[in-house]
Amino acid sequence: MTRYLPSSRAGKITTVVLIVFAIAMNPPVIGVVDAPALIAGIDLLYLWTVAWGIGISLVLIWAAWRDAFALTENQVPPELRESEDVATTETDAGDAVAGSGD
Amino acid sequence: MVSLQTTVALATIGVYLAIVLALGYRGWQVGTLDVDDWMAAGRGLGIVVLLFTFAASYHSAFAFLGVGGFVYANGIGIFSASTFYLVISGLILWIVGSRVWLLGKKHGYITPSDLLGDFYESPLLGKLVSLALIAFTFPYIATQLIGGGIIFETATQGAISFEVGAALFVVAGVIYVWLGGLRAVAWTDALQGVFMFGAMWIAGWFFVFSAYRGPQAFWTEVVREFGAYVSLPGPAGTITPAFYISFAIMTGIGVSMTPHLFLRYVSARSPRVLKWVAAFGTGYLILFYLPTAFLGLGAVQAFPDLAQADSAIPMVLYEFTPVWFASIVVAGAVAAAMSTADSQLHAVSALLTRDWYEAYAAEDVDEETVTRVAQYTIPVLGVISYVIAIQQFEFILLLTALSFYGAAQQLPILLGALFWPRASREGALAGFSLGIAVTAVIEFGVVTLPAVLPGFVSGFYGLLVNTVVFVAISLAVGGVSEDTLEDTQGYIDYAISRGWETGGDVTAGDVTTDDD
Repeated sequence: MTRYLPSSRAGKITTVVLIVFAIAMNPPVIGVVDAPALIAGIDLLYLWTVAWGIGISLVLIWAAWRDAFALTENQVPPELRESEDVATTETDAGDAVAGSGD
Repeated sequence: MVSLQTTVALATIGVYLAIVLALGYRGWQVGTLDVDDWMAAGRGLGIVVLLFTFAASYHSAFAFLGVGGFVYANGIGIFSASTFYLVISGLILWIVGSRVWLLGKKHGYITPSDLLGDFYESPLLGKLVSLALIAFTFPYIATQLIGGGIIFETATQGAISFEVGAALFVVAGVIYVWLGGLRAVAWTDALQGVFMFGAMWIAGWFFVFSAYRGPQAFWTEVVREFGAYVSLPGPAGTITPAFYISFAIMTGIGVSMTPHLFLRYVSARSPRVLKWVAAFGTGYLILFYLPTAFLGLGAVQAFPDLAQADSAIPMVLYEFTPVWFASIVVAGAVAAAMSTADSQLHAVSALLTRDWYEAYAAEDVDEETVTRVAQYTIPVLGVISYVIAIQQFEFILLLTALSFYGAAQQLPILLGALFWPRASREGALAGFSLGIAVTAVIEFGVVTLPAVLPGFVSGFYGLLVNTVVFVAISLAVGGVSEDTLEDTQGYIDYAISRGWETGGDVTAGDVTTDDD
């Protein structure tokens, strides 16, 4: 089962945020904000969508920066890079996995 | 006397077509006559180009015309659903796409059938998947031509008829796809993606400030007068919880499984490219939709009795913004339709050539011949699409209703191939076939579901049946051979369980460069 779950801290944090996002953007939770009402002059449902949309985009960019999910760049095996003249050296498996990817 | 609107629209579309043809010509100069190069851009697309080709291909004429019409009829619930499904697509691009990329690079896979037929050791499954994707994608090209023809006719006030507009649209697309393959498609998509985004954002904000003096006055008016449009299930009662969830899930999965997006997975230069495209592409697509709420709801206020909901955005633009500006923006809709149509034209050509021609051609057929055949299919597909578009053959166009839901039926068997050692050929064949069949019979009303069942979209029921059957049969009969498992899931495990540092001078293959 562990092969399906992210092992890095960034991966775990991103997964939790994504689960919260999925709950927030779907019924029944979204029903809480779908009344015609204004917050700071903006419709509540629209504001909720924009806030979550921008927030989750930033989380994904952070996750990409932190290599939250596999396959990461350093996990591309050397034989696939040889044809492109990229020399590689193997690192400790633990270092690679702990630092990035799932 | 030609009006200002017609002149500006003709000039904008003319300049736009000249630029995309020039990019196609440049793609032809750079490219080579081999399968990887023409079908997958030599597996060398960088972040910027792949970002825009992913985003532009994702949006079709629907993004300009359809979404405005949907808001006009059903309110803004689609924006919440779309934010959710765009994140689903981004995650599939990153997590599934990077594994598809790895296997594609290792084994030379280009189409979904290459991977699925190989993993499940079943040419029959490969053909079945290919046939389904061709059947669901091909009519969609015709609907883009219809959209393009309507836009031409509207923007030029009939100076260019629907038929001539659709013909210009398809001829330009055929030329640059023929010339440069996926590289030309990606380059033109980059232009189209920038044009679409800029046009929609400027138009939305221009409208809300010129007609309402800002978003606060706009929303105050909408909430006071049209409350049903800013709450679920919308004025027509369409966006029920069951519809919302199933529509979002099936759209997010379905678009990601279309063949033209699958080709983007294998055409990336590296997983790093896919990761960043997933992150920034999701943000781009979410932001793209936001101003369309102003235009769609603006039509509700200004034109409460529109005969055609899809004309909501053009109507608002021509009513509330200068004619020259509205004409440029509406011409941007040509870019939205064309960027999807060219990608689909290229993808169907790749499927026909790779999955069918190569399978039955002589064993010693060379790369140049295969690529030539792929090129020859482009004008043929263009002509057939054009005939379907202007004749509007109802049966064929009905298939477009299944395009996303049908493509989504690949996901369980693709996930099985990438992640699940017990995935079996028998389970995949039965699950995929039943998923398509269930989706089709519900979508076309062959059977009516009991009222006691939740109102999920047809494809969601198909996906549920597909998944249950695939898992149950696979558990019963066991998985594929050990050798195949080792070549696919074993190779993925081998890759992600360790890492390699890049050493020495990184030159031609530097994954960080973006020169294409």
